[in-house]
Amino acid sequence: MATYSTNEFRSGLKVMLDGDPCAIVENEFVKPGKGQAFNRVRLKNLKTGRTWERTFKSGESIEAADVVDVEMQYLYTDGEFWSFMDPNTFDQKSADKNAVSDAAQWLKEQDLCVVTLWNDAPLSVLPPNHVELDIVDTDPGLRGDTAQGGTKPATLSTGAVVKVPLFLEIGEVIKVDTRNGEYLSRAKDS
Amino acid sequence: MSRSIALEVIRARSNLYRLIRQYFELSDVLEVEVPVIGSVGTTDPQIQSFRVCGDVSEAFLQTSPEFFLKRLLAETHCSCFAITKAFRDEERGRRHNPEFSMLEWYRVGYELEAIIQDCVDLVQQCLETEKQVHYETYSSVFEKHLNIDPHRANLADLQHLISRRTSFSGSCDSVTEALQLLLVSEIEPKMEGITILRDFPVEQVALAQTGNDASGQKIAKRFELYLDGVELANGYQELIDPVVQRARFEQDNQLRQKTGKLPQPIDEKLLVAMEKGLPECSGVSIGLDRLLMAKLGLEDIDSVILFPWADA
Repeated sequence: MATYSTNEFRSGLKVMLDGDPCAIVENEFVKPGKGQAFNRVRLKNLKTGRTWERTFKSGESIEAADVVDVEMQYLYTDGEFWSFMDPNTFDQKSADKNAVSDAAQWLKEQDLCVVTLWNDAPLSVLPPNHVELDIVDTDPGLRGDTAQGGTKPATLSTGAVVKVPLFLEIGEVIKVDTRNGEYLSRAKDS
Repeated sequence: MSRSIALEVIRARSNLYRLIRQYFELSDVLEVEVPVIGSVGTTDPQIQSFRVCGDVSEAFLQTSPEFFLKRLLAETHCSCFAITKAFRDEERGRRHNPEFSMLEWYRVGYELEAIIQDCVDLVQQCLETEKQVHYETYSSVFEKHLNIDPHRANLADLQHLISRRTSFSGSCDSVTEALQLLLVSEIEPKMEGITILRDFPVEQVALAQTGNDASGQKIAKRFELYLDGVELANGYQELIDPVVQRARFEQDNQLRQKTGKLPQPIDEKLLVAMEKGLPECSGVSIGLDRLLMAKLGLEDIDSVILFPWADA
């Protein structure tokens, strides 16, 4: 099993801690001039998303986590699992609800996502920054109100609800920023 | 580093060194130059020297100018100081660069009290602002913040305290290690202004003399100066007995072997000088990069070093 010594610690490094895969967020070296050196480390638990602080004696080693980010195409969901395919190897993976979590509301068939695999199984899914989705439900559009800044909720094909300008109608395709859930524009070819 | 920042740092460092030289000139402490490369490194189990391998010879980059300055003291009996580069392998972080700048000075005839005051005066003068000074002992800070007596605590109690109070989940190998962990994680962050921490446990005597505090507790005549929780200076009323010095070197090497580190050659030239006679004296070293950081209000050592480790 691969291990990392504290002097290899840097942000982004994936390690195992208490049985969970974690990413190092910050690593601080502390040492009394004439004394034992320690590394004070902040880690993000990749399963729960929670941040931990841990102190290690410098020179200690911890187990590496077999965590890789792979760009995969989203295929479909049966409601329980979400299927993804590596477009290069055609290798398919099923992610459960925990792994997909909030990303589910942005997943559109054939979009490329970053799937984080831990021991070859999906741990988390990062949707593209921008997705184009159909409006399936919203209040009737108010023509001629394009200049006003008002918004209304619109439900998208994936179930996500975003605030959109008042002039948009059911059936239109819009571009959304998945990082903050904000409407960006009408999709170019709609 | 942008051009304007680089120039600001360069000017601030040169101003700092001018203030230091002025301070020592006023009290007749001679500036001396000593080698940064020598035939032996340090035996200190917690400090690793760089070994330099040339085509024909092998030597060590110095982890501090201490041994050369002490040899000079034995020769001249003159108070002296050096501003020099020091090198320590494996020390890299927000407050550590493996190559760093150090001021070290010795005052002949000074005892611990006097050198502490000297150090405080120098730091105040360098910072050009009056900082509040807190005088503490190793006992007083451990009692105040953790309600324990560091000279009598046993490993099991300290370990219990560590697992309750800190984010360290491993086990400490010794009382010293446990105390150091508690100091860096529970006490240092609470220090404000200038804090003098003195009278260390004898296990952390390093190259200081031992003595007794007012309560009769055996202590090391050693102090550290902290500025807002950052260790800036370390000083001793110096050990001058060559026999005890040799024993400490040997003890260092035993501890090295116990912790899987290579024992290091002992500086026989220093011991010869001490046999000839090191005068009663006290000495201090200050990390100049950290002092400069404090002066400029910067948090990262890389911001005061023009070519930090990753870029050197």
